Amino acid sequence: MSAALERRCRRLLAAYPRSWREQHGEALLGTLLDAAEAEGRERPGLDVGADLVVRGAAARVDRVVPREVRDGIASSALALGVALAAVYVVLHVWAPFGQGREVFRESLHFGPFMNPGVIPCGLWAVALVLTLAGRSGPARFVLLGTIPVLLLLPVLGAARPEWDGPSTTNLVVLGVTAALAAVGSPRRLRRLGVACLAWTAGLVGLYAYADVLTSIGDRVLWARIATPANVGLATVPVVLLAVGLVLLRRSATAVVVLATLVPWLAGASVTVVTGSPDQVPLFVTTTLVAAASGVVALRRLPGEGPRRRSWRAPRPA
Amino acid sequence: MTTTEMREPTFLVLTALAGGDQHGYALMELTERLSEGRVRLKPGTLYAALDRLQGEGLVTTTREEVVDGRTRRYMGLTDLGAAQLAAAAERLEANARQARARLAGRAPSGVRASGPAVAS
Repeated sequence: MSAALERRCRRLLAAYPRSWREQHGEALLGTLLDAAEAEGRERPGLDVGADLVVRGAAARVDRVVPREVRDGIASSALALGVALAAVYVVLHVWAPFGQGREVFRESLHFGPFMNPGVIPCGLWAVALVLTLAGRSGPARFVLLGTIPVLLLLPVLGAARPEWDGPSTTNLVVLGVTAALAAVGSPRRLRRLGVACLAWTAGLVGLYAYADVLTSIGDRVLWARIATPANVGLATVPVVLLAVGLVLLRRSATAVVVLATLVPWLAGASVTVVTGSPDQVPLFVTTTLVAAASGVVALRRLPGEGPRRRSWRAPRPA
Repeated sequence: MTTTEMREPTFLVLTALAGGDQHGYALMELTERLSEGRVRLKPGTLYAALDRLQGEGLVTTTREEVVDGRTRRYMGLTDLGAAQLAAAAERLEANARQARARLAGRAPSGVRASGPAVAS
């Protein structure tokens, strides 16, 4: 065995967090040396090195937010994003029931729609179908693909006054939700379907309660329903629920619950920055309380789940 | 369907372990052989898969040996892993049976895939 080969392999293993290396480093090193020797190599192949760097980075992320938690966050965000996209397209982008739609349509149009928001929302539908078909990898690719589309739309829209949006708030919320939905792979697909329907029904219910089901306008949700004050109010029971879950040693669920606040807080942040500076203290307090709860829940994760079990060899009797 | 299906690399790793405990490099070789060369796991990918399977209780570490200064960690299949592998194999067999039965009853349609013409 070449000392240079071992040195190169050890250098690549630095991609992994120290705790991971302490548990598995020597075993993985042995496998790397076995593989290199079998192929007559004096250094690991580029593909093997790249794989170690990627897997090492994933292991680092895994130490902070374990895969099961990321899968839960992804599932929850996908359900919320699909519902937001569906409601947004039907009530605002297409708006077949919108009051005075025909008058607005004289100046606002993108084909049969009011604006090109239908494009990223269509990608959300594709991501849902792929996920339900068990193709979570391509689904994540599509979700991440919505982000450049969302960045491009305002650039194109600057020269197209006939597009009514999408507004910055919707772009930011859909982008943040897509990023969250891409952090893992939903595992319980039936539950995902139910969650999509529940979020959609909940949003339609809120629109009906606020009497804005037929209101035309790209920012109705953020101006009339999910205002910074209402988001702050809704944060209180969510944080209390998360604290209860942490006390019941269900910190993973608590993190997933708290993560559902992120898109709403992102939407509220745009509203605060663009038009409600008086709400900055409320928004900052809300965000800090939610973030602190998330940090506490994440720090309580070790020791609660099976992922933290060591897989060292049993000690000899 | 309540969970995503078992992917081929996972299926192959569990299949390799069904024949007995294996260390890392032996697992890489076995999975490649079992897949007739289609699946060649890299060491980093293999250990990520083993980490996940261990977390799910499907595999376990049985022993470690040091050979020529190299650590060899042997992994084994748990009863839960064996049950999940058997269920996955059953699903694949049922699907294959259905495919063969339907292909056997299929009359040639005479329709060819589009592409360059083949002289007959």
